[in-house]
Amino acid sequence: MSASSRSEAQQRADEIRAFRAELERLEREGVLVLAPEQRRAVEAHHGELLAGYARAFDIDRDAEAKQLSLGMRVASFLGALALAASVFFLFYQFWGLLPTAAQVGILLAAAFGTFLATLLVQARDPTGYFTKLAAMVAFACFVLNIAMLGQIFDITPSDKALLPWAAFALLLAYACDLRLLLAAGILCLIAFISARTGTWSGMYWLYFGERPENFFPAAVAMFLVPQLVDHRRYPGFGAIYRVFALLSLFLPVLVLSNWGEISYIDADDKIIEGAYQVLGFAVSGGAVWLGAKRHWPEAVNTGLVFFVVFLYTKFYDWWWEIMPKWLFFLVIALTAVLLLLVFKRVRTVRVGAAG
Amino acid sequence: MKRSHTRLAGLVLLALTNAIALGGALWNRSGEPQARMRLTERELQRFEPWYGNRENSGLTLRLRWRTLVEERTAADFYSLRYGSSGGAPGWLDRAKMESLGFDTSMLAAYSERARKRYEKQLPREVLLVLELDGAAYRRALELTRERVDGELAKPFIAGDRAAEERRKSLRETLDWETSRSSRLFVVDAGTDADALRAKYQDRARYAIVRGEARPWAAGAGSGRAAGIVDSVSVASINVPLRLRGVLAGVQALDYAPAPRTPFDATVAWGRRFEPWLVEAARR
Repeated sequence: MSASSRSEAQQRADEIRAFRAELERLEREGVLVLAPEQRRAVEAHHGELLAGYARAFDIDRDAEAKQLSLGMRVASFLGALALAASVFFLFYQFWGLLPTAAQVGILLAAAFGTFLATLLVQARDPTGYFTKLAAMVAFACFVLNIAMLGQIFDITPSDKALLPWAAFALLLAYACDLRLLLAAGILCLIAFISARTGTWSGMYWLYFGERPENFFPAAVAMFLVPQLVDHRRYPGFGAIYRVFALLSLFLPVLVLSNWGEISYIDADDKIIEGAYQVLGFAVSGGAVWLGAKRHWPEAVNTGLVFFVVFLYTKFYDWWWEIMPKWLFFLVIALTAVLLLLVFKRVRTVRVGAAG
Repeated sequence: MKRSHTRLAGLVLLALTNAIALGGALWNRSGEPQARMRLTERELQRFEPWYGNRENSGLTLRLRWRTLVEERTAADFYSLRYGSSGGAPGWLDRAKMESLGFDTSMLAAYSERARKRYEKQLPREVLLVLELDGAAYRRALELTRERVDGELAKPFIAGDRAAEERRKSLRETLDWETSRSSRLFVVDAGTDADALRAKYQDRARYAIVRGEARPWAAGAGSGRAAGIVDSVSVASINVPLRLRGVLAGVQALDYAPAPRTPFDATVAWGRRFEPWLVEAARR
């Protein structure tokens, strides 16, 4: 199997390492012994694959290298954010001292130049760490480009700017296999869809955040993307879409379950809050169920976190004022134990059914 | 995705987005401006950069616009000098709000619940008419003078320091309204630019700009619907380098007691109702 991205190659390399360890154990326990020619064939095949991946993608070949890689990923993430901020403030420090033509020229050159530079870096950087830095700077330059043109020419703020920003971030994310840029693109898309949803009611787009229901269509759209578009070549991308989709659903529901007055629904605030509280429990429980069924750990974890948040928010509303604090926290602890028992039971049933 | 495809897609995206943004700006400034006003330091204030943004070398002027509120409360009266804008002008009544697209039907029978439902509607983008040194400003000046004269005519005990301070403050308020407050008022709103221009034809006195209005049920229990002029969409005007020398030294705080740096600045509004600074000179 040929891998098309570093993460895909790394996943295959990890599977090969696990296979070797398990094969060694089976041979030691006398369960399975490969014939010498079979062993040689498998080892040659795996060796060829690993060498190819190492050449093309500079993958981690052992656990130590993997740990170092994690540190490098964190460093490149922080470096990317800091470099983007640096570009932003560098321009801000000098732009007022330049004539308009120079301002526009620099903004255009920065946007085009950093994009082309990102592609050049990508061609020479099998690790992807430097590509991430370059891509983040390219995205920051494009955002700065459009935002500053708006400031230089006193252009009316528009939600339409979010669309090319989203397209550019997604282009870089898919071309360079970058999850950070995918998250940036998804955030721009969520903001754009939510703003458009808000304007259907006639409101000015900048106020879309004042009606949390505006985020629901964006949540559905983001959830459907990995279902409708095959993401097998982009490991981890589908999970990021699902996490942002669930956040776009759960956070507005959480807000509305406490502040019914900002809902579109024309009803008594208490009824709206009650309805969203029920919905919060239902959809977070549903996310856990669906995540477990479809093997989406990110959906299970996000659903679980919000189920607990919804539950504790209600506990706070009901009991914080009337209970002694020791009893309040004891109830929370007992609830956590109860949840553990429920999930243990569900897990046992699922394992039994699978068996 | 092939690298050549990525490069082409990225370059097209960057070029197209910039072309739309720059083309729109050029289109706005092409032809005869829809309004061209000669403003002063009373209507334009240097934008004070926020704390974390002190390194920003850009220079921006803020358009100081107001609304005429006849039933001005005491608090509003004394905040005149702080350049407050917005508010619920008398002309933004129920009929006007309906014409702007707001639903006012729930206010037919006024109740607290009806008020909440009405005010729950979010701001809409509308076209606002800015009037420079016109009837609205003259009325605002007249109201202030009436109020100050009335207060000063009341008997007071000589030596009462609180009363003397209050009388001094009243005179300062009148002085402020006469010579320092903005003369730029939002006097109308609509959704049809041609209809508004037909009504307000003087392009040196009236500018049509984009802004937002929001519902506000005035006078609880009276059943009278009204709205608030929430904001002007582009109220910050960039100062290009060629005019920086003129405007770099002007004060940012408009309520400082020191005299302001006097200047004249011509601001034009184009086809997309977006402004730009045409020229500026110290007086």
